[in-house]
Amino acid sequence: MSSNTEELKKLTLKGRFGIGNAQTIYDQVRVSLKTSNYLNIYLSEISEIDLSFLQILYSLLATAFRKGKEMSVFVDNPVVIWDIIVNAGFESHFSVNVDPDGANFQIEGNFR
Amino acid sequence: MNDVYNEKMQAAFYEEAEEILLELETTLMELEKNPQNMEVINQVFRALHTLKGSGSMFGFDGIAAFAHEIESVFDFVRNDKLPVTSFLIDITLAARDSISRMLAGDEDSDELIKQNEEIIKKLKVLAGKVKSPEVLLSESAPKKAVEKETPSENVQSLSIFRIRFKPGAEVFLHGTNPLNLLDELKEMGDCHITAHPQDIPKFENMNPEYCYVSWDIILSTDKGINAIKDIFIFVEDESEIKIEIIEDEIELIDEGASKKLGEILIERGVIDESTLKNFLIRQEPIGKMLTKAGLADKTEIDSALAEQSQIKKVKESREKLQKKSSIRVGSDKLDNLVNIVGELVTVQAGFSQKALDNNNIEFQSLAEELERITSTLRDLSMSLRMVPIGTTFSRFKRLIRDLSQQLGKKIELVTEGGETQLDATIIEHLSEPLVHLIRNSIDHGIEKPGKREKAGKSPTGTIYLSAIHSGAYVLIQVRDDGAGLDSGELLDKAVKNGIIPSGSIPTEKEIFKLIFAPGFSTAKEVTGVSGRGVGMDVVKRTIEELGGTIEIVSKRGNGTLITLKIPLTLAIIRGLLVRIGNEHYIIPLASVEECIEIQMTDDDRGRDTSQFNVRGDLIPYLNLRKIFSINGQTSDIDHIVIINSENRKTGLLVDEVIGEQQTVVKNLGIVYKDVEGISGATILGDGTVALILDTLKLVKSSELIGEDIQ
Repeated sequence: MSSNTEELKKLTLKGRFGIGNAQTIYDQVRVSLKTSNYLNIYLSEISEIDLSFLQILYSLLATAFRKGKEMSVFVDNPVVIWDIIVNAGFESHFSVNVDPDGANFQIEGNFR
Repeated sequence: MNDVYNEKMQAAFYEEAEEILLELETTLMELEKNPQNMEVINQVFRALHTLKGSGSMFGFDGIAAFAHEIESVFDFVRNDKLPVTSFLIDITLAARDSISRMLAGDEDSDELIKQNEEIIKKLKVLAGKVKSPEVLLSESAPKKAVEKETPSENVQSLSIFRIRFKPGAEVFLHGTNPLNLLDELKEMGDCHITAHPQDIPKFENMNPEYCYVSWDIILSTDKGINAIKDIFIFVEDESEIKIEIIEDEIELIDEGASKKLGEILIERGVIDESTLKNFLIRQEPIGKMLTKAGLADKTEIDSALAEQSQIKKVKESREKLQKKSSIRVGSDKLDNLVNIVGELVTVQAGFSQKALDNNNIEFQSLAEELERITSTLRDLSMSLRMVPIGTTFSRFKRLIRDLSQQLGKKIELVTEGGETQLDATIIEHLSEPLVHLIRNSIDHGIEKPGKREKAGKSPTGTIYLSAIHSGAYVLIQVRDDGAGLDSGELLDKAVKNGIIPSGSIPTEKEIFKLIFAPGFSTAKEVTGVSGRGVGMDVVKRTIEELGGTIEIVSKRGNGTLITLKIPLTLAIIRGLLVRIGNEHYIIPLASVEECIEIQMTDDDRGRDTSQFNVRGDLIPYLNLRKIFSINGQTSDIDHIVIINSENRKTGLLVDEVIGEQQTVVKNLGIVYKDVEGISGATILGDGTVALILDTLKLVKSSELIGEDIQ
């Protein structure tokens, strides 16, 4: 997994999103969150993903929602992420929609 | 060869499409009452989808294209993007009627084409109102997991399990991926998984290597509970696992209503009974109310709904499987079978008679065995023609819906005994009389809401339609809780119209029967629905032609009950065998009131018709010997069979009343089909033919009707 934090408001995460990297991903996101109230996270080239990342994603989006933070998570290939959402029974908690600029797909949490 | 095949296939499509349209009509009306019911929405969608698919397959492109338009709109409904409204139901019912007309060959009618264009326009308006769908790019869009079809071959032994799985927090660290366990469960059968993420902490408090999620899993499988336990064997020490059977195969055989959401939530311990009762008195979906009140979260409700849906799904699969085990056979083939069995019954009777005459024990034993088998075969073949009357009942829901809207009334239809079976031919003939009776109830019986409220009634009137077996008959009742009949008004009208003479004092029962007199109407005004006095006489005639009777009971202000007593079948009737000279006749037992012996003078015997005194009443009689021009010696004692035809008693003079006889009805054939007073024939045990009397026509043709008889 590699990361790119050239812009404080933009975090790109690539590669493996499994339990082996859960702590690293968590730490990266946490650092980014500390430095900004406005954060866009881009997930790309996902080669592995598991429940641990889904939990991070859920917690991240739910916390941002409750705190009123501007937070968006985008993914280049929505199929992989949707598959794990469905397999883990999270369909009613997430939705994946076309990003308004059309380049990516946005993962949103359904917390209302 | 191909043409024949295509014709057969198309005929199969017609039959299937008609059934689907009927089901669609019923389902749409159910949807109107329960617009949130996803199961009903899915039923509508499936019906439209099947119509489209089959239509296209069998070359009915017009129907397929039209069904596709409606299906598209219901796809939005199904995906919660379009609400179910009365407008939608109205258009869909209209579209359903259009398809029915297209099936009937009206497809090229300009009027229908125009009407269909209007319907499509309206559908498109509805589709245009769809909330901007959050459409994912079709090519690369994430795919929803394809739901596994419940394996139908195993559906008979399926059980449904509710599994609660909360892995230990450190499950990841022990090298277990809980999703792999869920995958194993999915492989066991149809599985619905709902995650409960509520325990996932705030981001800053979470340990990313801990597992916080738990699941509710509803699994229908033919595997046992131990197979499920095996899946969790390596995590059972550190996890909370609860496996319950919620429906086993025995419970699934019971086709009763599925569990209600409230019951499931109580079972799961989400709410208690008193909470449920408190919420049920409100007229809102229970799931929505409990979520709003904070008593259950949305995930709990979703999971309980999934359980409910799973149970329904398995039950439906079972029902489908049961349906698959039946085959479609043309009614002409069944008619042929019944005819041949009828002939076999005749041959068997002849054989038994011969065996008896010959006094040969071995022969008699064979005859008894043949009689037993023939009797079983006869009952079986008759049962093949029996169909439930419920299909006919369900048609009236639409009639009531449309007419009550038209007349500004609120009417509910309650049906009972739809599973009661009757001969297919009888059911076919019953439809029209029932339509007349129900139209009358709607138009004249049930009052408008304001009037009902003033009378202390619910603003919604009810029409009850029921069927029940009663011996060799079925009693079909049409009851309403409307205004009832006014016997005084009926009597005045009958006198005014010359139907009965002034000064007559008929009983209330006799007065009520006046509504069946030709041209008699109690309606103060003629409406598009009824009131012309045409119909009730047709109802009575049709019922009598079916060998049935009609009774009416009414109480002013409380409503009217009309009972039709219909024989189970027309193919075998109960008859009274009589003899005139050397000829035998069958009088349908349904019309026989009594038999009396009488000694007549030669003068009396010389007349076609005359009257005789029965307990003080003068009853006209027909001399069948004279009418059928039968020669030969007369009996010393004459027998008169008194029949009731159109509520008038008439005697039939015969030489001998032999007794009751199960009569297999045979057609007379083209040459004799118009002979007045004869409806068919039967073959007696000795091989001779007995004609079956059509008592109604016999009396009418003798011009007795209309005379002041009683």
